[in-house]
Amino acid sequence: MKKQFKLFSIVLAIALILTACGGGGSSSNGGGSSDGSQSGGGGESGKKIKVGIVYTTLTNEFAVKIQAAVREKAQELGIELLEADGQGKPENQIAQVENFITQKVDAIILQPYDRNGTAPAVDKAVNANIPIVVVNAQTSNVEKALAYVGSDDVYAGELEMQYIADQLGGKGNIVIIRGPYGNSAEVDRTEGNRNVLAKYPDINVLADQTANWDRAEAMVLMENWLQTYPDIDAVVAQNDEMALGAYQAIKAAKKENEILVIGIDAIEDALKSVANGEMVATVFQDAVGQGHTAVELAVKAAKGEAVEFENWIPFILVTQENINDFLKQ
Amino acid sequence: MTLSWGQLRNIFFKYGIYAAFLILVVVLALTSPSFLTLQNILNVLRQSSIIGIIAIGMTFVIIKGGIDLSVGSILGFSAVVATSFAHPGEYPVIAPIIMGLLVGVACGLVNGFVIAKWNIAPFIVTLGMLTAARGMTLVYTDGKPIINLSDAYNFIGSGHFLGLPIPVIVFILVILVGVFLLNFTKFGRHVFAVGGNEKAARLSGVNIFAVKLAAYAIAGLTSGMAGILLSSRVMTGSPILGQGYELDAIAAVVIGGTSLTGGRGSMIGTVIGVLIISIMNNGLDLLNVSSYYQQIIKGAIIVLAVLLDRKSNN
Repeated sequence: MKKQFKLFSIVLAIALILTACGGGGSSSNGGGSSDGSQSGGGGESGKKIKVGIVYTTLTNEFAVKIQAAVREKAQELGIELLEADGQGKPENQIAQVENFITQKVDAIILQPYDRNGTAPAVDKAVNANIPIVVVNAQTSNVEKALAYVGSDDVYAGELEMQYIADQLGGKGNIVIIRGPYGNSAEVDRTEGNRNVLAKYPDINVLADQTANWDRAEAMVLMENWLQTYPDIDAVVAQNDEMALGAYQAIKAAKKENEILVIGIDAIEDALKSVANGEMVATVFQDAVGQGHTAVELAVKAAKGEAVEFENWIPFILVTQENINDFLKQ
Repeated sequence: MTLSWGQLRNIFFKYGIYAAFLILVVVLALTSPSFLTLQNILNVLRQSSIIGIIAIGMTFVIIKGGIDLSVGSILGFSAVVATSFAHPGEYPVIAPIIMGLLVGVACGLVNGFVIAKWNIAPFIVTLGMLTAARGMTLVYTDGKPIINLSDAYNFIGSGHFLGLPIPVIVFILVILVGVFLLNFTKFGRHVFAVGGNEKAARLSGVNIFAVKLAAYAIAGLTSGMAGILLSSRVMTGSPILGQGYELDAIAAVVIGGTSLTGGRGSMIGTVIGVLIISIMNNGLDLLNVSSYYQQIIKGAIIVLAVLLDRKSNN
């Protein structure tokens, strides 16, 4: 077989798969832009509103929760939803927003991975006159977007650090596990952590590093810290995935009764962990609220209705005391 | 049909790559109305330029019989060094560009030197550079992204010149230089020779050491270029830029017909390979295929390419 034939077979395979996909599509109806109308204006009756959403990465449980909420609301409102996964890379998110602009969607929802890196995507949407709603995390230029839906991450950082400070009676040794540097949630939660720490000079931060929202990374980090620091009293992790990873390392070292672990998000595994008395607490971030509101705002914007710029969805501290309110979700 | 099957097959064998590419474009144009718009074409070109530039450098290395796993990390390292010189009001914009390219070439030379001097497998050496360069990137930035870049620097990645995005212009220039170097210079012939049969090349007087050094330096240089373009496009010197890009670059080179065992290949093939991958990414996005399926498809295509390459060798 000559090389050209090889290439031809590959391309034929791709072509066949694409034709199959063009008919199928994944989440929305019929996949792709088969409206028949080229003008792409917003919301005339008889034509479905098209909204494109770009996620940070669908390997993250919280993003998947937002996705479920977004899909639910999109179906309820009867709009066509196009989805793209940035896979944790801001340049992908920019490219995907560009693709949505080309497809003349009526509105864009962006869950930015990197506060600065994804900012150009907002500029592109604004320049193309397509309303853009930023959800869950901010970009450095978020004020240019039409609306922001999210929870105040500074407050979340304060909530978790304050809880630990209270549990420790204002003194002790802690370690902090952070999100990816530069991610807006990480930046704000760190600010919140530090706001509270300033009030407690007797709390020592032995170590402070990122595990990039990742459970496995946090586990390795914690293992190393357990070797280095014999007297850690608490682990303050900026999200549940990392808190759970740290907890696994602590459990393996048989120190689970000596070290408190707290996270943020209140994902399923974390709620179970808190209920079982493992993690001491978590902070509920309302993915459903964020997802629903983002879609509602996008649809309103597509129809040309006015929207509020800031839409805060509150964080709530979850401990064993109120865990039952959250387990049912 | 007035052509016999035999004649048709001959046409495909002769113009295979181009026919394949054309089929892909036609299928996408039919299934997605936004595909053949000027805006989308420019998007695809812009989106392929980063991987494309790296793939051009990678072609030299693979034809020479080696491989370079560190291009993504070199991209990241070049990006952060370059952006650290790109704050507004500090240096003229030529400074970050030179620094970024220097870092790329330097890393490439280290790769080439270690591989050529001590004959260690390129896979291992460049794997080491992959890790080390990423580490140097984290050290250099203390883990935090470099922001607040000058407008001139940002223009490199997001500006236009004569109607084309600048990264596309750079890509085109790199393609031209790459084609020229590979096909019309003695150096190019030596690269093929070393890749085809190193012993024979040495016996016929080719300076193996220099060829290897140069091939990896070129890969490093192209990675540096890509680092500048990418960091400028996202307006950040992020320490995690470029992760995983080596695999896309290798995939593009292989799909384009260059053999992983060395000695055979073509620059134009690489370009078509890059375009096929980007068009595939773009098309799958436009058709709203879930990203999970996209990854499966991409992986399958790459394995298919290598499998068929192996068969066509026998």
